[in-house]
Amino acid sequence: MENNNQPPPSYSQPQPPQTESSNPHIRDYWIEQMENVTDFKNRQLPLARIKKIMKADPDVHMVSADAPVLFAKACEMFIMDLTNRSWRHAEENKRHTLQKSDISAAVAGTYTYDFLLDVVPKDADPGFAPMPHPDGVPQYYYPPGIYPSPPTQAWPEEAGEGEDEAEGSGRNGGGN
Amino acid sequence: MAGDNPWFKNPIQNYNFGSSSSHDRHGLVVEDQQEENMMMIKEQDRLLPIANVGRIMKNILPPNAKISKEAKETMQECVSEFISFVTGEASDKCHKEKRKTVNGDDICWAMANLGFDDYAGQLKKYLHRFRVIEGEKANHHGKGGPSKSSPDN
Repeated sequence: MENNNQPPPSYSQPQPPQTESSNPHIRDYWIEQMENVTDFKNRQLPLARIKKIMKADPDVHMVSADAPVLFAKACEMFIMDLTNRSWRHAEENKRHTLQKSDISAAVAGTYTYDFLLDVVPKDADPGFAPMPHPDGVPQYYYPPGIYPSPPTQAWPEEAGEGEDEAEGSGRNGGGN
Repeated sequence: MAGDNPWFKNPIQNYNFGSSSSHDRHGLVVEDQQEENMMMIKEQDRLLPIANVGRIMKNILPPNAKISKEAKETMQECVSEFISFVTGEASDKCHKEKRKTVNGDDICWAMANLGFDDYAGQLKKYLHRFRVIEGEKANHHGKGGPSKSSPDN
């Protein structure tokens, strides 16, 4: 049983020191998988679903039999990779539960994952809650404990909020 | 005349199929239950099953680790986006080369092109192995009996 000792594949960015959830084990796992697999009926991810996702692209006409098989493996690698990076973020924050914010952090910190920036918003941090403005203008993020007030804006507010000209509430001393 | 009855003009819009008719689903106002069901089916189709995704995530994490449901759902979205992203690149290549079928080599090429060099290298080996093994299986069935050359491993 051959096992080529190839140098570990390099990531696109310099990596922080490895933690317990280590990368070398993943790499060895994949090398062993790729070189010794005999059964390609992938049980981890459904091939038909993968093919469906591929064909959702209107420019894709036909897909060969090997493409979903390859993607099934690639997706496994991708999930493991992203999970691993996300976990590092959770560990840094001394948590044992992987959160969406950990995935956002991993995406933001890896340039090959730039295509995911729309999928996982950068500000998905549990410490900050988005406060919708009553007028529907862009949201502002308020640190906890700060009472939200309408933010100062560059553009004038809609009529009806500021001066009650039409209604004549009596502030201006109108009305008899 | 029956045709004048507004109930028959646009039955889908006027008839309340489900207990809650108008409600928000991902920012879209859904008018009835039937439309919502169709949207849910489409939603499931474009994502890999959460159980499978969750299992793969769990495999790489330490035993004491937990994964929030939201994190699994996010990962589902990320994987589908990954598939679409790479497929799009591979499809463009096929288009330029006037080929209609996206194959494994195109996928490998697209991954390398998009910065997933580590994956591409290892997947090429996997692809090669797939073709060898599947090719041998095809020979096995074609000859109607065990072939002389057995796969060495």
